[in-house]
Amino acid sequence: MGKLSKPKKLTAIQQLHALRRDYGFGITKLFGINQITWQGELKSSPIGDNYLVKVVYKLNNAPQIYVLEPKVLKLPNDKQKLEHVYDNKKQKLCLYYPKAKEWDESKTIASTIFPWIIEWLYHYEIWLITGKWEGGGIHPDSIKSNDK
Amino acid sequence: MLSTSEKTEIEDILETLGENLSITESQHDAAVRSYKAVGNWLTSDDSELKPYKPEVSPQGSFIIGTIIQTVDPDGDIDLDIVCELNGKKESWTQKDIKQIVGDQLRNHKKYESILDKEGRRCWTLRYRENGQQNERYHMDILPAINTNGYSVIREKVFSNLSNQSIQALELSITDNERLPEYNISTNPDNWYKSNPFGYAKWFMEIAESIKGQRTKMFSLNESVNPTPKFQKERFPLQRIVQLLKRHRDIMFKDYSENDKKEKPISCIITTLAAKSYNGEDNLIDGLTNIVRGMKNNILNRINPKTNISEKWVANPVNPNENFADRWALPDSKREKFFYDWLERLEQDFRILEIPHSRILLSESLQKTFGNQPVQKTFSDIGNKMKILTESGKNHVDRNNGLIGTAISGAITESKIQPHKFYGETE
Repeated sequence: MGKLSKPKKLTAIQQLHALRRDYGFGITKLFGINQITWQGELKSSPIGDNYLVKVVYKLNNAPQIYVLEPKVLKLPNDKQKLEHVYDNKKQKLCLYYPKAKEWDESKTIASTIFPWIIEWLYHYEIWLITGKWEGGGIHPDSIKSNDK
Repeated sequence: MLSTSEKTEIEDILETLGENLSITESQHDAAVRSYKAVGNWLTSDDSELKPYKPEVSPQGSFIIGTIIQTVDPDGDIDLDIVCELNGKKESWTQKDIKQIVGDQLRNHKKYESILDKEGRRCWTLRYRENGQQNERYHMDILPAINTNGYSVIREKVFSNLSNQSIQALELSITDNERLPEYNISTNPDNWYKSNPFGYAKWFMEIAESIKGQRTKMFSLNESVNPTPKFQKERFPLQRIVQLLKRHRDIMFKDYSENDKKEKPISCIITTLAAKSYNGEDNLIDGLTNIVRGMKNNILNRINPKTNISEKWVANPVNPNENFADRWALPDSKREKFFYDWLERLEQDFRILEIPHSRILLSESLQKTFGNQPVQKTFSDIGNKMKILTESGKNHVDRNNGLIGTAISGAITESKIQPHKFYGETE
């Protein structure tokens, strides 16, 4: 019986090609052989707003996603921080639960992360209007308390 | 001009808003219990009406699916009820019938209801079962009598209303402004004929005539069943009438009590909307055309008695009746208020014709329709999107953003892979 081979890790160049193909309206750059960046405008939905987004990916690290513009994303009246971010000031988005491997290096960022960015932007707008985050998701504190 | 995908998104918002403005299933069921209870009082053993087998049925917005929530969360929902007698004592005049029905309503257990006032044709009953919020009704009960030898409600309305001719649904009613007839006439053939079920048929036929579509969204036959089931779906025309009525409610909510009495009446709004409807299969086109077209369906006619031009909105099932007859009363503000409302409609709905950001649209809709239903609408839609992602059915157009299931097969579309947002919260 042959062993099931693990899915292959994609190279930075392969990730770059997928981004240039699917999100070619942004600017994709290669740094060395292991790091790429993408920067461009993403729209939340047909009647939604545009956001300048930057994605930084270094092999063996998780992709990092930043909303560059608006420089300071508005908050609903009664909230002090953004929902589902790693860093409020840097507006660094948190789009998946790492332990669940919803993304791993065998998957293209273009087909997984990018639609999640758009979805985050959409739910951000709903949250601005209603004060409620309707996109679901989990928070680190709730996991810690469920673990034991 | 809106793109197709923009239109789809805004359409979803308006449809969900309409659902949130409708009465809930529990309110619907409570309304059915309440008018059936009233029906039971009128047929009870000690009722003078018992020999004439009174039949009770709702009419108006409840049966044509255009009833909406009140602006005030504690408000009474308006329910129009017909009480049809199958015969009467020969000697009874209109006045007698009106009084006997009133007495029967007044004599019932006081904790359940209060006979509020006597109108020109109806009794107004404030019904409070257990006094629960949102289960209070302001019932206008219309005593009526059939003259064709059959019970209109039992034999025509309850069994396949859609198949009846409009003529066959007429009922004779009392009217205390028709003097001296009200006091002395004992022959219902000579009384004023009202046709609430004929009106419902007329309206539904227009609502159902959507260009190029056959899906059944709302059944008139079901809504006039003795115990009608709650129906969630609506035809575009029904939704549009709901949105228009709500727009009117919000616009006039801070007017003085006296001025509020002269705000546009639902009957005229509903009739003009139906007359201006052209089979549009979506809310945006329907609203745009109806908002523009309503004023063209208000006609001018010379009153033969005064030789003065008057505004006319004819009852479609009785062309001799002018729903706008009170506009011509001295010192009435009704005509002015109606045109004020039409003008505000055009302003407020202009936003639907040009692309606007969701944020701006939500602000405008909240001003027009009230905060609570609009916020709930966006919440509901956001929740639907989450569920779509969870079930692997959500999509983005990479150039245009989240599009849900509204895919066109374009090469720029991608499916959203299942995932959970993570990270801190406040």
